[in-house]
Amino acid sequence: MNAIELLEQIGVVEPADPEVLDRTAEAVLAVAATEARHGEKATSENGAELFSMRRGVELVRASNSASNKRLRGNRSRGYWLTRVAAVVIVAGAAGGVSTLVQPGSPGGPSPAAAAVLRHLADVAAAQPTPSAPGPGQYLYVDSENAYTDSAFDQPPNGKGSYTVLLPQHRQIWIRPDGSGRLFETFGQPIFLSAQDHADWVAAGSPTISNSPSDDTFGPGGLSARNLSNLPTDPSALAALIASRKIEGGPPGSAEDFTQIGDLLRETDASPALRSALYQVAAGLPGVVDLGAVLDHSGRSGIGLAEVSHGEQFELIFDPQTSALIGEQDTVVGPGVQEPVGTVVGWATYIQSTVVDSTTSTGPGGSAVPLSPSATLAR
Amino acid sequence: MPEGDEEVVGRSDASAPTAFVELFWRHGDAVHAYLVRRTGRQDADDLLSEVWLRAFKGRANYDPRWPDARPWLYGIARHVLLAHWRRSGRPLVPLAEPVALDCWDEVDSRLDATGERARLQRVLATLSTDDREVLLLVTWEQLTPSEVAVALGIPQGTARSRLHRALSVFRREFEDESFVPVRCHPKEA
Repeated sequence: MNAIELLEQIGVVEPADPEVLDRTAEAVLAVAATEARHGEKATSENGAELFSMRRGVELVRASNSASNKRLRGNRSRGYWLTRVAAVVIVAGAAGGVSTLVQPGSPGGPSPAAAAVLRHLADVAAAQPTPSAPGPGQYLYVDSENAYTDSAFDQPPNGKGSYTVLLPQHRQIWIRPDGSGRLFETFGQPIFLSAQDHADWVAAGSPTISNSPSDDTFGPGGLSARNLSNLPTDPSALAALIASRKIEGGPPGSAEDFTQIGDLLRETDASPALRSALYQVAAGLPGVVDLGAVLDHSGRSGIGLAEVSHGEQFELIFDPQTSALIGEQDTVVGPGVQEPVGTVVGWATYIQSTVVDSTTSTGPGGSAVPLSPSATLAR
Repeated sequence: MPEGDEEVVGRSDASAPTAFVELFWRHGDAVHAYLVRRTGRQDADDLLSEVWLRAFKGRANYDPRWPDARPWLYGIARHVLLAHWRRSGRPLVPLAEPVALDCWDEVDSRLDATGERARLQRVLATLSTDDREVLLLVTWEQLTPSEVAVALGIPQGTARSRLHRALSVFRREFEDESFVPVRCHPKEA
């Protein structure tokens, strides 16, 4: 049994006590019946009505158990496409470790990376502070990125497993309370190897869904971070990040680096905060300097990365402004099904600005009207 | 073709609110199991009706594009759980970040029963709370990452990258094992 199967097994629980279910159904019915009485179809409030509804519940339940079985039957059939990144566990540990970069010594920061990060911190500190979103305003971020998706035939280790990169154009409008809009359009899937393409054809060339999505969100719907309370003193910020009080997570500098990325990505981190974040990163062991790199759209930048779990997670910064302009994830070690050197994810950040509405892209930018199919997601 | 959940919710509008109870008979068990896995049976029994009353009150927000109501219901159940943990004195994360509080106690006790505790606990402990929540929605509730995104109110890409991270940890720790079977709807094929 593998670890995931074990986890699934732990999740198996005894069904609910029928008495608990009945009690809950009655509570829902009681509230619904109250609303029905106050609605247009006002009916009598006597006990007979409730009694007949109670009988109705039992009938619905009996007929529904059969339809539930049918639904579950459907779920377990056919071709299963996972929306999982390329992390299929390969039987047997691979041979020699091969990395694109030499990780810094575990004991302390890499001197080269630390120097670059301190320089970026100085650049950030010299940037003008843009105005934060005022009441009713949104932070708007426009980016292109791609994630890997893997699919496999049933049984999972049968033929037909393949991986694609799904590029997307992502536009997000977000308020500090987490309300806003997310509009994503997707490009054509990119097969990571000829074998992936052949396996997709062997699987019957199933459609890989890439229809656009356009959703608006109420407060709390999007993952918002209030960064204004964070200290801009590097020591205090480092301690706060390491304590995992900003974001939960395991201990270790690799996670510190991940969280620094999280605080830079689609946020309105001020120049002072960014400067502090770069200084915190400069103190992390394992961060490596990749020198001058190109992001996926061909812009040149400064690459800094951290390697964990066989992948190199790279942040790319604009040398002029020190802003995060891109990211790239590359396979550097065994355990990932793609060969070393395969790019398995990227992001390029095109624009980040404060706007007045969820259709605005800023001064001079063209409006992005809500799609006819746009809905309030939450 | 059975009636989709979105049709049931649609029927339960102002003209026939009691139709909503059909949704309960479809998914009451699943929501109960969600709660049991995270907080134990006794609390689950107590919290179940709160989840469903909130769902009923919020049914106008149901997106008619969702043929399966479970991700939406799990999202509501999660909010009820967070409020419950807050009431029972669990520590809150200081920033206004909608991070899940830990379901660690209950997961811990469930691991005890398997004899594999040390091994799996060690791996789960290396995951962030957010990554673990995504992993558990996929393995326990059998959601697809796009359904996880609905349940947690996060973008699909975020759900996928969290799952990616969580599974990467498993890949690393269990390199001798064969595969990670993650299911999803045939309709996505």
